[in-house]
Amino acid sequence: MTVEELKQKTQNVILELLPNVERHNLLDECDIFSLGLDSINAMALIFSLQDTFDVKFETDEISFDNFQTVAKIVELIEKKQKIEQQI
Amino acid sequence: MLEQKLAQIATKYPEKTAIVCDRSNITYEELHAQVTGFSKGLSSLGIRPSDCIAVVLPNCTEFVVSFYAAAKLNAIFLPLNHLFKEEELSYYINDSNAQVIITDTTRADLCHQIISKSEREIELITVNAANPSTTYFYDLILPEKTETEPKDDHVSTGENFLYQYSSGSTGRPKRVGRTQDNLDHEINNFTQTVKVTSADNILCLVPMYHAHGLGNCLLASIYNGATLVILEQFRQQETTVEVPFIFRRLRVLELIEQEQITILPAVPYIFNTLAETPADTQADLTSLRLCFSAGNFLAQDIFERFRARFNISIKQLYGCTEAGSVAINLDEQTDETDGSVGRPIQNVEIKIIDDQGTQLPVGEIGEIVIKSKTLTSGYHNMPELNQKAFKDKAFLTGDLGKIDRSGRLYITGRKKILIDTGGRKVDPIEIEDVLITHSKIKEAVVVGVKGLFAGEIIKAVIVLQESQTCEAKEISAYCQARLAEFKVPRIIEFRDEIPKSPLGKILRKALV
Repeated sequence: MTVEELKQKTQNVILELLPNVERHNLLDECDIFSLGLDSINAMALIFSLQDTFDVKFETDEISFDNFQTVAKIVELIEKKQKIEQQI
Repeated sequence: MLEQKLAQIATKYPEKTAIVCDRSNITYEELHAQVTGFSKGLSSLGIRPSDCIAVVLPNCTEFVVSFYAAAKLNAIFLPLNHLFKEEELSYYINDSNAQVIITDTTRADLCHQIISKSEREIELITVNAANPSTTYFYDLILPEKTETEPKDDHVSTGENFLYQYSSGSTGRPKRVGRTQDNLDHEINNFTQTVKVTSADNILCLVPMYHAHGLGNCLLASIYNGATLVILEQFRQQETTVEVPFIFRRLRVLELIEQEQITILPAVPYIFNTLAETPADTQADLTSLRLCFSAGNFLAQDIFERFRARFNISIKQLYGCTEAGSVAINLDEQTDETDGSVGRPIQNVEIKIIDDQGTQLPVGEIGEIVIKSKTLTSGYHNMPELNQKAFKDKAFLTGDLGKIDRSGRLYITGRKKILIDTGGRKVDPIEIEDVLITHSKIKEAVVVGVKGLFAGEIIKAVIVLQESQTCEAKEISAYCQARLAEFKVPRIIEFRDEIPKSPLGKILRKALV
């Protein structure tokens, strides 16, 4: 999967949880929590990303820093996929 | 009365840790000294008995100091949700006639705006930094010998000490006043029932401005000489940020282990998040002797997953703003009774009545009625509602339930419709009242849609005025400007009409 595809899929997951947000407002560096992602759908975000990309986040990876923006989520998933490919 | 109890505890356990917050500890002796000093500082600002002190703070040590300083002065303590927006805060500050606002630098500008629009003089105190236009909290902790020393030998325990607001059936929050005497009974009853001792370490994850956090964390700890461990605010680049609980899970597990937490009061959403901790994550929760859930019904699924993950059975507690904790299920074997909120707390009477007010026999469902010395005397300035809700010194809760042969209470429904957004209760009518003020909106109904992982997501269904067009983002922005973030609808749906019964009743279930 290319980085661009990864980004698009990540955006799809977020937009499904935030139906009132439009794709063009979901910029790479935009804080997704300021767009309305709250406690309830933050958990759904993590599970949905795990299902979509077939990865499993470690407890210490589930941090605000790693999930604050599309760019950071993509970075984390890319890293995880690389590690899993090496294994 | 409450402050005197703190003084006794400080004399008995001067060196014992009273509060752990943000990796710093404060002993009972230090806590009492701060309370005494701060009460003098407040007094020097002109605060007198029955004056109202509003506190707009997340959980922190200064919240506890302010609480006991207000008690020492026989003033009124008004804890408010630190996530409230200007309009919300303004309503509470004006309704309660607050003379002082204690807040942090994050919210200082917002409080300044409220004060500038008020006709009264309101002092602004900030806890984490000095600011030219505010008074610094720690500058107000005056030394022992100060002329403004408040007289604490005439503490009246029968006057209102605590103001909290309960969601109202009209969307206008109801002011609930409780006395120091009410709170003293509440904590005595709770201590006797749950057997809290000075050996306990209580972890506070729920907001202390709410009855659950105030009664079952703050008061339960300090009254018994236990240690109150507060989950500190999350910081990012030196500023505090409000983040979903899932991102604090690791820190919470660390705190439970490090601080040897024995009692964990929380809400279903928190227990659900903890239950989802991956199996390969090391988490030692063996110090816990009691985990209890309040605020909403604990789903069987969460109970079972938490037990499977940590081998701990979560107990259920039932309470309300008007009376504090009311019942708790402390059964050792909860397999058959885990759907129950248990037996009444010591010195609390519970009965079930029908619509005519007649007490119902065992097993029959009706309205839950509470009688206790912890109970408020009524809602401020709402005589008609008080007549309905308070009869013969008992409170008609509006909740439906039944009692079994062993005296255990089961909650079966609620008369009030509230949305649970992960522990925070939201009154849909309050949001509808805001939406309807939008010039393009003709009708608005707000409902809760079940979320994937406990809790509900707020959905607004909107009918626009004729020939008007509007986008969801415009509605979102309108709400964001007027409501705390957790109250803003996440789903906005436009319809041509709201489904109603032949009698005109809104069919909310058809909107979910």
